Amino acid sequence: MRNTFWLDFDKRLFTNISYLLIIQLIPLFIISSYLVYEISTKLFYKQMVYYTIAFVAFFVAMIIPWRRIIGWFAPIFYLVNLGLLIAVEFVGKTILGAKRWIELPGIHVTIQPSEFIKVNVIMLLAYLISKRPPPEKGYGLFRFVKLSFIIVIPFLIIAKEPDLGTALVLLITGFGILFLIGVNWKIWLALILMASAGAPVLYQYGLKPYQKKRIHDMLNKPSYQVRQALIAIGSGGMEGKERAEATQTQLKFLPVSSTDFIFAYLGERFGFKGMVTVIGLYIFFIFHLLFISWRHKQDYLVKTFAVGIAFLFFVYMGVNIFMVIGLAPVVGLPLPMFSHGGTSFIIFAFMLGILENLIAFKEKYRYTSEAKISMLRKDDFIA
Amino acid sequence: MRYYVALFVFITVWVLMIVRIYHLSIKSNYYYTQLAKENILRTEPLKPVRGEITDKNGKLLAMNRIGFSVSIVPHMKTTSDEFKRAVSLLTRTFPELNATEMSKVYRKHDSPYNHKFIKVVDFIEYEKMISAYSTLSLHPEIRIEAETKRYYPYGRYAAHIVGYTGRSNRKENAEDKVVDIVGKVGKSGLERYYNKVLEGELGYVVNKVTATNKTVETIERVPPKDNKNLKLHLDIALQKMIYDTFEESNETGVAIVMRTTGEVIAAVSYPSYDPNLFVGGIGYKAWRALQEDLAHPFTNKFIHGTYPPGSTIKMGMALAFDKASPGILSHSEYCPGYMTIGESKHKFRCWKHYGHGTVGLRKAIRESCDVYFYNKSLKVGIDAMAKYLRSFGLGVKTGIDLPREFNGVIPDKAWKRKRFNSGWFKGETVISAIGQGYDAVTPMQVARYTALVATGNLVTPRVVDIVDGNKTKPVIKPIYFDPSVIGEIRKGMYDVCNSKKGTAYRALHDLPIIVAGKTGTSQVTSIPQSTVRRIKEEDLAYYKRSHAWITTYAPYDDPQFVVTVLVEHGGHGGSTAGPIAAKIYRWLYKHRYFKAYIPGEN
Repeated sequence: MRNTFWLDFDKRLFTNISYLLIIQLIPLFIISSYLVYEISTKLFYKQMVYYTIAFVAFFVAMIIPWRRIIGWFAPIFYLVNLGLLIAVEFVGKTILGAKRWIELPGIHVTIQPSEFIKVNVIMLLAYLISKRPPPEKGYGLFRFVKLSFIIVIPFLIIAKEPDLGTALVLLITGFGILFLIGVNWKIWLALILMASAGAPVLYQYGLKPYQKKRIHDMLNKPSYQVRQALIAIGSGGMEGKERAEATQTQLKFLPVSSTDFIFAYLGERFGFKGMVTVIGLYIFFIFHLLFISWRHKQDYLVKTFAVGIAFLFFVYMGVNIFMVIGLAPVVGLPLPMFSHGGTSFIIFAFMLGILENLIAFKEKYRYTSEAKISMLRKDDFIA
Repeated sequence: MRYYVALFVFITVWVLMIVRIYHLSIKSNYYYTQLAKENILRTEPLKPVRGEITDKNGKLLAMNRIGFSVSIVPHMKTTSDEFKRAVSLLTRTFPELNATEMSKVYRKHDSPYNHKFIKVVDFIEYEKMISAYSTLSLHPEIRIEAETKRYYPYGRYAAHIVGYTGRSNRKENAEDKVVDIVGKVGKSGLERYYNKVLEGELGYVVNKVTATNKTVETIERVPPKDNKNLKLHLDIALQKMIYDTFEESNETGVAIVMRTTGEVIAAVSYPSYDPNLFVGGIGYKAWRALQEDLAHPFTNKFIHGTYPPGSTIKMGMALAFDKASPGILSHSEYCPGYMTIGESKHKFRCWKHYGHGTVGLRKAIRESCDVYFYNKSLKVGIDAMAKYLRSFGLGVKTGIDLPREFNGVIPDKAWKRKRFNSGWFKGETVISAIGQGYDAVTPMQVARYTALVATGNLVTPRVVDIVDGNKTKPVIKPIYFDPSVIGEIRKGMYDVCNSKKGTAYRALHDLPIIVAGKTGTSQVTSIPQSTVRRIKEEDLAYYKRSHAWITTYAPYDDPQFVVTVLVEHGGHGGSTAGPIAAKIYRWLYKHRYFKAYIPGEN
């Protein structure tokens, strides 16, 4: 039994995963690495180290038998991270006025629990949804409220840190999943009405003065960084400029050009064509994820994970690019799997690993003896 | 269905994104390209070096001394240890520096918007700095830059002509870009009048810089245009000799030596001040002392002092009479020692109380008979007198190339109506005719008018000979005078200096050249009147004394030079101003100023 398991495991891992999903991302990695290399070779080597770690994380995530362990792993992982988020409140490290980090005792490593909570929330939602899939007309109010708690509790804690960017990503991704998986439309209607009534009140009392200032600045006068980003993009034109001519970045007028504002350097260096290419790559990738989700009519684990990652990519790339082109406040979200930076890249790789594993072993009961039953179901094949 | 809704939202966001990007990079490409260029190109001005001023022999009157300024990096708290360390290093190296003063200057100029180093020491001499340079340059928060400082080697001797430079104020900065950049401007004298020339033109350097303002490369460099110098007609040796003469005799006053073509060889206003005091900003005490000194060292008396011309006006008055009613001077007047006007029989006395008897024009000049002029003035009237006197350069600006020259006053009826809103009295005509009453002129006007009497040409006095390589041209305006009248007047002036009856005979008759001239004694109205009121009673005697004038030209038969001397409160012109004029002529003769002159030929 054990021997066959390992043989089995190997074969499916290389035949049943979606290669296209990963191949689609490779042009993004190449363009990103090229830009980072031009900005600083030192950063480029660091990036290669991140890629290596991310590949390991991807592979590890891919071989872990998620379908077998998710039942106990998802709730525990979620609760532990929630505990860490609360711990941040009390023993967290304050950097630049925000309390987001916690220092692990003894080994001098600071971690940011809010980075992992995205994974937890998606995983827990996936598990709970797959355990009790929605009826034809979607979840009713009771289930909806129960599932909402999983999203809203970490949202509130993170928003208080304050890290409004991450908090909003969590909120939009979480409710995006619920929307696509299925909740009764009457609930959405009620929510939309409540939100439009509550937004002004929230703005008045819910936001900190610096957050209001950011929104105000965004609407009126762009900050120094955004202004420099606009100049970088605007001066790139259709084709972009030679490396030596890309003065906004090369002479350091563009701040954090390799991380949050890398899209501006892309615009300066490769112009309108380069930017549209990268946006196009994201669009195809997100389309593909949504398609995977749509095709898996009954496999709610794959469905939820694919939608979750699609929403994460959409929110990250949307907010990041809108921020760079001066249409959103500067909230410090990276361009997903494109900006230079370790944590976010590795977490995305890890999540893609989980998704690939779920796709590869999509028979719900593979790890149980009843796997053969689902093998025959037509809907579970992917494109 | 739900997927379509999600797709719709996603696509809306992406379309908005691409439309915005299109607008930025394609539609606004030109605009943003310009902004990107502005970002990287930093134009910095290059300061020109201020031109020098030399006298006619090339002696430096205003020069630039080379030294260094010291600046400190911005954005430090003056209470911080770094700042204190920097300042104490400076005070240890240069004990004359004041730490609190430097902190004050630093605080004044430090702001989040100022990224330049802040200059805390304007000037340290080259010799002092050179030994300390290597130590100081090791400290990154201290910056030492080459600096020039204006220096006037002859100090007070020519202060009223050369003037001085000082720190520019906001208004001056707004008016002149060079001043704004250099931070210094000519405040008085030639430094002010020729500031535009002396300051030169800015150069600039265009650098490609990074966001932190580090220069990557130099794109363009245009050197400043400088070395725009002035060469004067002035002879500083003569200037110094005259100044010392005033100093030795303890008199205050004015002496002007001018060629009859207008070149000013010397112009002294005694006492004077040291212009070097002003270059680095003058202290309050020193400024008060200058302002309150009753001898008015700060006033340039030859163009800013207005004095009644007294009898020196008489040649001009005679010429004005002749112009107003030709032939009027061919009649002699009888001088019983006084004359009366109107029914009140108010007596206007001649200075010689027993009278001059019958007086013709030559005698009237020689002996300065007042009654002669009283009588003629009543026949001509004040308005005609004033009109012609002004055309001879009295009571109007001379046009000398020095700033803010005063007009003085040659009164007429309209002037009095405007000034006092009252009518004109005959008595006022009479005293105006002998250069008293409202009459007030500057010594430079008297010198210019003396040249006119000597040559028949009205010239514009000029201090500067060569401006940035270009020679200035004489401005000469001939005025026609009846030859017999002007001849008689000149003979009268000859007599003043060479006839035993002349008022300046004693001082001027035995010179190597023949001098003609006229003395004058002007009753006091001092400048400014407010200070006089503060004087204690025991001093009043001096300040009530009359000013003594003498204005002369020589040689008599070939007029080349005009010498005009005014001694404040000097009493009679012949006895106090005369010897100074004589000394000047001897000096001019000794230094071969008179060309092709054969003594005794007249």
